[in-house]
This record gives sequence, C-alpha cells and structure tokens, in this order.
Amino acid sequence: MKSMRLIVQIVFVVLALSLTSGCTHLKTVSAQPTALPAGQLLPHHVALVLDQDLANYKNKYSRGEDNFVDALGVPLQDYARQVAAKSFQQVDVVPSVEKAAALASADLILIPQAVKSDISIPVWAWGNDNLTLVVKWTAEDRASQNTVWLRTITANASEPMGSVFSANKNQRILYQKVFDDLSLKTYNAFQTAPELRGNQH
Amino acid sequence: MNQLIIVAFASLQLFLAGCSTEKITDYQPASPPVSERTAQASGVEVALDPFVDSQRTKQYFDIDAVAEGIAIVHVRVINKTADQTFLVEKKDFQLLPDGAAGDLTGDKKIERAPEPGVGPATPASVLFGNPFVGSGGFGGLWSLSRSSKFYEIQRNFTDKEMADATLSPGQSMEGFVYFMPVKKGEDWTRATTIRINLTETKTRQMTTLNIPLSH
Repeated sequence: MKSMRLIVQIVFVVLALSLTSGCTHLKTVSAQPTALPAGQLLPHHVALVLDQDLANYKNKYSRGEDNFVDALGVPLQDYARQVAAKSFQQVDVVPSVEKAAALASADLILIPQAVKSDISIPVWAWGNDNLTLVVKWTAEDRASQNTVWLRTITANASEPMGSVFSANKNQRILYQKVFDDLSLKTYNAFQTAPELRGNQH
Repeated sequence: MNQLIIVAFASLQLFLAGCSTEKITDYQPASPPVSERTAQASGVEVALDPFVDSQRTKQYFDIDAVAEGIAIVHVRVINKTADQTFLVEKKDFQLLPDGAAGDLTGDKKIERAPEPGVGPATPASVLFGNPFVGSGGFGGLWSLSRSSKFYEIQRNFTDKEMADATLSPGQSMEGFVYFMPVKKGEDWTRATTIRINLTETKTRQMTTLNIPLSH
C-alpha cells in the first residue's frame, strides 16, 4: 500500500517537473514547391532581392516551458524564387536592394519581406494547430526606386496537432499548407495587379 | 488509496477544463454598418468602424480590448478613380486624441500598435504578459491552456489585420488597424480623429483625410 502511494507521488513529481523544465527546440522547415496554375508571364525583367533578413527569418513560439524556433529562411527563399519565376519574363536573384539598383538590365526591383508569423497550438492532440504567416512584397521601379506595387500577403493553415507519434509529420504538413496558401495568393496577386501588367510605371 | 487516485484524477480534470482553443469568429460587418464614419478625397473613400463596444471586441477578438486599452478600427478603402493607384499602409494611419487634429505637432499622436508577434508590446502580450512566469507543477497545466488561448488571440489579431497594399482604380480593401495605448475602459473615440495619408504612386502626391470618430 505504501509503495503504491510512493509510486503515485513519484509520478506526480515527474509530471510536475516535466511541465516546469524548459528547453529550446531548433528546427529547419522544408516545403515542396507548390503547383501553380498556368498564367501569363508579366513583361518585366525583375531583380529579386533575397536578403539576409529573409534568409534568417524564424517562427518563434513557446509551449509550456519550452521554446520552439522554426527556421523558415530556405522555404521562404524557394517560394519567392518559384513565384517570381512563374510570374515574370526574366528574374535575376540579388542579395540586396543596392545590387538590384545596379542591375541596369532590370526594370523592376522585387522585394519579399517576412513580416510576422503566429502559431496557436492546442492543448489536446486532436485540436488544430493554426498558423498564420505574413509576407510583404514591394515592387519598385529600378530607375526611380519609387514603389509601383505593394501587397501584404497573409497565409493561413490548420492541421491537427497529433500525438507524440504524429506531431512532427503533422507540423510538416502544416508548414506545407501555409506555403501552398502563400504561393497561390502571391501568384494571384501578381497576375491580377494592373500596375505589373504593362512595362511603363 | 483509491480515494487518492480519484481525487488526483478529479483535480487533473479541473486543471484541464476549458483547455480547448477554438478559432475566433471571422468578422462579419453589420449591415448597414451604422457605426461607420466616412470621408472622401481625391477619389478615395475611407470608411472607419471603431470598436468601442466590449462585447463586439470579445466576439471577434476574444478579449475585452476596450478594458485593455487597445483601440480597434475596421477600415474599408475604396479607390473610385479611373486611373490612379494609391499606396495604403498602416503606418500612415494615426489616432489623434482630444482635438489634436487641429494641432498636428506630433506630441499628441498615439502610435499604431507594434506588429503582433514582434517584441514585447504586442496587443496580446500586453494583455497577458508572459503566461509562463510563476507557473509550476499543476500550475504548468493551467498556464498551458492559457498559453494556447494567448497564442490564438495573437494569431487572430495578425490574421484580421489590414494588409499594406497598392489600391488600383476601382478596387477596394478592408481590414483592422490597431492603436495603443488608449485610456482603459473608456470610450476612446470621444474627441478623437484618425488621420490617413494616401500616396498616389505615379505623381507621389499625398492625400490626407481627417476623420472624426466622435459621435
């Protein structure tokens, strides 16, 4: 009887400690390119700026005492390259606005910027993780560097959190879904922008 | 022994009660939006719908934003021109309290809320602070459920926020803009004006609209 009581107490102590001890979990997110519909290639030679801010972007959140850092730089760069290549006649990737401004053959400078990300995580395994990712795209006339087009794209995705056995897989699906949503919304924004259809700004 | 297990199990249920994190209601504008204030200049119409009713902020943001000193405004912008494109950016929206519209020296301006998710002064973290501080043992379970709600509220603020965009001829856009801090628990629209600067992309000419929010 005493040993049972001791076991119950130990279980509770371990549970309590597991809830209070915190650590940081680092993860690099990957996502497959999204299938985009066939559309017109917009008549621009674009200097696409993929800078260090985009490469270093991380989604940071906490759960209980644990901190999570999901590196989104690689999928963000891949998404930006893919959507730009599918939307414009010619795309050159450059690491900074200064390099873009110096690219005399380009007429547009295109700058994607990861603005913010928020994730809400349920307590129960059958609840949904909800993820929101916001990316701002700015198109500047290379000669004048005036903004000719601007759009903040807000992408959303939901996926059941899953158990200890499926949580990693489900989070991969969650990120894939958010990048799919982001890619389609961005592509549609390019395709429907009157400011990007002509080559006169 | 059985009693101990039953008591422990019942306690666990109490700690976990109310832990589900439901998505917060999508915004449905009232029809007609009786609380809207509108203004028009240079062919652009702006309609503002300030959220001064606590119940309304709870419905769409799951918090009493009025009590927490967060000003929430639903914004609708319509470009009625045939050939002009305007830059609409949240940074160009300013809340001017107490008749400051006539005195725009800058010292009476209230800043737009920092981007949610960046830094400590985000709307949700202002409300809840760090939900994990001081938690321990079963308190950890309690704060876990609070953190779920905390993150969903923050995510919902981000999701509903107005996009920055160029507004093409004939197009419209809408979303929420947040300002803080305003006086907690008070009607922050009293004697308040929102100033909006819109830049035309070709000529770089700026149009300014001052929209009083007071009834």
